[in-house]
Amino acid sequence: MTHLVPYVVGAWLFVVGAYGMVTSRHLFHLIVCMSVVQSSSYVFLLSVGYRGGVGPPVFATSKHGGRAVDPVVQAMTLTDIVVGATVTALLLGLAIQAQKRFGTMDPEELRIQEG
Amino acid sequence: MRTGEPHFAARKRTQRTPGGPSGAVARGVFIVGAAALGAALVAASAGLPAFGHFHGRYGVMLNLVAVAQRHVTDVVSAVNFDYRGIDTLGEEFILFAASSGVVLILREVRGNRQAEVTAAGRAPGPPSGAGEPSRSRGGRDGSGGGDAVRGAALLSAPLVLAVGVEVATHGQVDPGGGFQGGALIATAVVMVYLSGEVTRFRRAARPGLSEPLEALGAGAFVVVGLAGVLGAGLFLANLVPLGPVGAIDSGGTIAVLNAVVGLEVAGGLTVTAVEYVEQSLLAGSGGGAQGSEGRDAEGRDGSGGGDAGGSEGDTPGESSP
Repeated sequence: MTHLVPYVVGAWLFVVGAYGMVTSRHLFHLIVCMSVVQSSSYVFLLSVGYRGGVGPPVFATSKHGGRAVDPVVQAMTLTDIVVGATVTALLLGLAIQAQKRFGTMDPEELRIQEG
Repeated sequence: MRTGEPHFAARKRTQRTPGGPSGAVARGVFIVGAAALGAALVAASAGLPAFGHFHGRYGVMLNLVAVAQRHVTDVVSAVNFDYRGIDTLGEEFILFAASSGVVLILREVRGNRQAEVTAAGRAPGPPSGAGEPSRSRGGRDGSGGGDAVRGAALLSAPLVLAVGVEVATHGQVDPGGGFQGGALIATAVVMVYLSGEVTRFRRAARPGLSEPLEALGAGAFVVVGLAGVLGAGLFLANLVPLGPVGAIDSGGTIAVLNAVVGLEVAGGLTVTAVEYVEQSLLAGSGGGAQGSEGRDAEGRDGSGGGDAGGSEGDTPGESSP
């Protein structure tokens, strides 16, 4: 069962972040919860690519036998982080815009104003 | 909840249906769905290779050939900037588009607010900062920290900048690269702001400098790619000499692309940071109604987080006047 622990951590981060998003009463809080959801994918990718007993994919010479953790998922994690940061930046801008226009940061009140 | 709450927000709050179904129902639906999703995720994970026993063939293959093929010692950089280079081009433009979006959204807000604030005699536009109110160096406009925080931020800024340049230019040798280095360089600029030196921050982060750098970095990636088309018939083909393994001039286009991505990320994040800083300065600078509006956002930050954190959350804010 212990070999599942990293994946369970990823699933837990996803669900607990989604819980925060559903119950959020403030847009900043909601955006941070979305970052938590996204961080579950970092944990998941890095867990998938891990290989026991070997080092990072950084080599001093070309004679190493390729014994290292998977570099492809690590590269994807970097992409993931960059996209996550940009999405957060953009959403924070939209949240400020919503505050200025509607005078509230509560998603619930925003919905009422719309309807 | 602070006292300076604008009247219109209070009026909107009274319009809410008391005891609306949203909170409890949403929570109930979510708990059912989340339990099912979590169980499905864990069950699906059971079909994955056991932790520590992954043998993806691409990763194994790249670990074997990357050093010989590209003369880089960091295989992750080789994947990002060579084997998967065109994806990184897309990634870079996602960042470019997002920072442009932040500028568009916030400058519109800022434009509206500046028209209101101009009466207060403050002109945030020019970077000279001659008319800088002295209180923006202290109090809530600046970092809000004490002298120790400011001194530490000012001392660390050049160090962070140096580390950022090092990380951005050594992606082909060490873990790191343009994205990480660029983020560190932008962090150094933000640290100038945290040190309370708003005028210096505006000078270091002036759009006249950071915006062209961002555009240059984004465009140069495409130029390097097109040079590969012209020189070798393949987009992003490596034309630059690969150099000795482990040296700073190794990796050919990988090193070049790391440098231009570093420029793009540093510029883009700086542009983004400037917009947010100007927002907070604007919120602090306006007297009277504007100021209270800005503070209201912070006041609710606390109450909103508290609601989601523990209490029932069905009728938050109903009790406020």
